[in-house]
Amino acid sequence: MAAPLKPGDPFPALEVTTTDGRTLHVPAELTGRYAVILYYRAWW
Amino acid sequence: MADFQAHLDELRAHDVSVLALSTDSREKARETVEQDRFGFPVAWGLGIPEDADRIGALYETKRNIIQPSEFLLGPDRRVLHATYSSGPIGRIAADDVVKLVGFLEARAQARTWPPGARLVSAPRLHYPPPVLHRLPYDGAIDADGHVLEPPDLWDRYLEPAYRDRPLGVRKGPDGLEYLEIAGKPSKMVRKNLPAGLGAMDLVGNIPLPPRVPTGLKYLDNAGLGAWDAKERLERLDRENLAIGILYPTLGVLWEAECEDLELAQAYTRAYNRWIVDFCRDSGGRLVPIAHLSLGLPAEAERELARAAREGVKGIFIAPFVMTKKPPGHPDHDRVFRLAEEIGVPIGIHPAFEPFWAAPGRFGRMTDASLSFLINVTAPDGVRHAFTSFFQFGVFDKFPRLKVVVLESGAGWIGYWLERMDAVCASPLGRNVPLREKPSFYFRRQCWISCDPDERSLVGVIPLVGERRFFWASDFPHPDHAPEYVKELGELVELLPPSARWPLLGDNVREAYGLPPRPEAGAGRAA
Repeated sequence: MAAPLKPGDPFPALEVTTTDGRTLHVPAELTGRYAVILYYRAWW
Repeated sequence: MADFQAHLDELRAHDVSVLALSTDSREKARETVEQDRFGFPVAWGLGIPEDADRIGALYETKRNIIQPSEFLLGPDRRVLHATYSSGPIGRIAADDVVKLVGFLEARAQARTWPPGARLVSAPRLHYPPPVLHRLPYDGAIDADGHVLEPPDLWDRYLEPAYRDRPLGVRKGPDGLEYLEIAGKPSKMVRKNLPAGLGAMDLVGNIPLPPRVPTGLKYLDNAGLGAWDAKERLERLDRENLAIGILYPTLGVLWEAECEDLELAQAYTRAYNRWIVDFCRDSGGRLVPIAHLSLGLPAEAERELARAAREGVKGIFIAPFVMTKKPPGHPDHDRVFRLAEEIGVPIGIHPAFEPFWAAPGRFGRMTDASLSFLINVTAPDGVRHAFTSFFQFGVFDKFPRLKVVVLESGAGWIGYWLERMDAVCASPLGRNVPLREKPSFYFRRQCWISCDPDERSLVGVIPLVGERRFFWASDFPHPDHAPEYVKELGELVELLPPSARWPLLGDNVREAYGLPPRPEAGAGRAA
């Protein structure tokens, strides 16, 4: 397991696809002065 | 996630976005979104272990899940807070995010406010907590926002022949800032007034962007986007506005004291060149409006032609002309003719007015102790100028000319049209060279800009016509409230559905020939 992110760390860049079909570059394309990112448990 | 959905409005009010992601398939993720009606984006298809390792999260290959991992990122997109869980228990709470962001913004504000903040320590009873609101409709247009011109704009853009008579904000030996016009301190713009010209956000307790101080409160007290084009675009993004139509700040002050008509032309040319440069890289989202001074009509006509070639989408005039001719006077027909021919709207915008133009019934109304009275009654000059267009029959002479009434409120227009129609039909209207009633021309070729807090428009817009109204922020001027986005959202909810998009921006697009509103992803149905 990689090291967890700590306060002050840059959030790593990733490219994701949203349910409406958009490609989103995170964190560059996040709107808002602040941003909350929620990784949630998938259906299992 | 449900907790963040429940707090979504509050989070947006604090300019916090939310994104959820998981290893789900697209179908499962869509099911989740539809079931819980999430109003924030949800991404799917993360991979194990690479996407878990990227953030240092726990995961299970057997069930193909990444354990709950939640982050709050700051404006620089670095981690402010991280929560990792090994199972279903343990989450970051939306309410805690709201509190933390509120605290961070308040701290940033305290750190970045310049010492001059006391200058605008106006009563704040009417203002809610410090936030930039976000409009829940895409594609809206601010029909009348302002920029603070650089203090040295005219030093750089004025033609060399006029540089011995400079215009700009200066700092005196007493440390107070003043406006210099034609090389002399302004008599109307009080000392230190420049420090408050862009202070809408400061008055409203909205944090200023962290900047290196310039040493001029005129700039340092100004809110996000008041004098920097990139910041202005950021402000539009944060407020979810598509386009801002831009007017000057010093440009509505100096003309009242510039009796040299040639110099006035040179001042307008300099501003008009600069505002085109200011808006150039905005992708059409910042729209330049030229300043015309009608004192020398042939020169004004020439400047209109030049500025239109350079890319301005409209022009504005002050409610007075230094020649004391009413703005609608036939002396100015050559300007109206060209504006009609090239399809450029003429806006009438309030401005400081010469002493001879200000009402005299209470003596000289320039005393700071009368600031409330002066500001509330400032639209009188615009109404006089606008009415002169009817008096002189401008609309029959130029049936395709577009005229826009700016920053004067709009609730009065119902009464005004009815009064003009009535007087026109009476013996007092015999000298009005119009074939139709004034209201006919207004509904054909005029528009008026409202303040978003004008609730009387709920009655007036259906009466006058849905296609005649704009809304405007007046940002960053502190005589209007920084709650304009919130108030606009509330106003449109009160309007009939057919009137909402016209007010939000479609009327502005029509008047100024701007691209139509994108239909895709066009926000909440209005």
